[in-house]
Amino acid sequence: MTKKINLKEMEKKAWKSCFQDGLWDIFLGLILLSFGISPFIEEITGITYLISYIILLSLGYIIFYIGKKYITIPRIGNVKFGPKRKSKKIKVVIILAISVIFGLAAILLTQTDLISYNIDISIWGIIFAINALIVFSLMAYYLDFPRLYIYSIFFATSIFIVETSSSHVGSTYDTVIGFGMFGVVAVLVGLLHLTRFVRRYPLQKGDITDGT
Amino acid sequence: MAPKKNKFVNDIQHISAIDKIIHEPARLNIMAHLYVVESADFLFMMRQTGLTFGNLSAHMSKLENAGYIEIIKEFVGKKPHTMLKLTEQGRQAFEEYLKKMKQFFNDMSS
Repeated sequence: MTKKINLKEMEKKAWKSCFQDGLWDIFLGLILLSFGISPFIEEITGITYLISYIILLSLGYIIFYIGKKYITIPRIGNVKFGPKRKSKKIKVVIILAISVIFGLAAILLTQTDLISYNIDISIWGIIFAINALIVFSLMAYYLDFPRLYIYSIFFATSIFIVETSSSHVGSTYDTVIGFGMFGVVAVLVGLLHLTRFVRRYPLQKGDITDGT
Repeated sequence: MAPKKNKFVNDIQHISAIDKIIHEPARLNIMAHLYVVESADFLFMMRQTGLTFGNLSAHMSKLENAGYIEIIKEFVGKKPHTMLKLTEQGRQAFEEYLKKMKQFFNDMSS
């Protein structure tokens, strides 16, 4: 009984164990990469960038889902958290929904020429960068996942780089540089965490998920 | 000397009233981990507590017999899956245990 029992820390440790597999990093990295390479794919293959976005985002989600199911859960098991964590998860979903609505509204307003996109293009860049900073920081706070603070900076900086570099490198390579660079970094960070996770938690012999 | 003796008797009474099922370190570890979550499976508990399968299984049985934990059998797809959860009685017993231990150490230090 020499070690003090800190229940809050214990809960936090259990919660954080769900994020040490690096799958979130890979997922976010693939989102950034999809933003980065979709216009490039359009240029070389002629496939509309929206289709590439959807395919790459779906691929990111599939990797995340399969990874959780076949890599994470068989290694660290399954857990359901209490009402506080559940309410925080709901808050994250609301924040993401608001952000998506904001993005869609911005696209609709510019597409229907209610707001001109071309006049103040850098202002839109700043708005989206601030949006990314706020959304990811709030997610980091509510999910107790500090690496998301860094990814909020990644997303915001990517948008900034795209806005500032497009006049120098063109409207395809600006996204490759801006989003692609940070996307690759996030994916690599995720793969590093995943490798560590797999080494740290090898698969258990036999099936013990049913306690038999 | 009478008040000191009374205090000693009081302390002994406090420590003897402590729940011995929870007081065992491995079971205390299990109880504490289940207290902070809603439910968890066997593997998660093994990883978090650092106990082996056999050890965890044996302590789980004792806690289940005491009515402190509930073993929920469910199916994930076609595979059986066991989730472990503190019962209301287990939650109250753990809170009571913490209260008594705090009280005991407070009495010891004063």
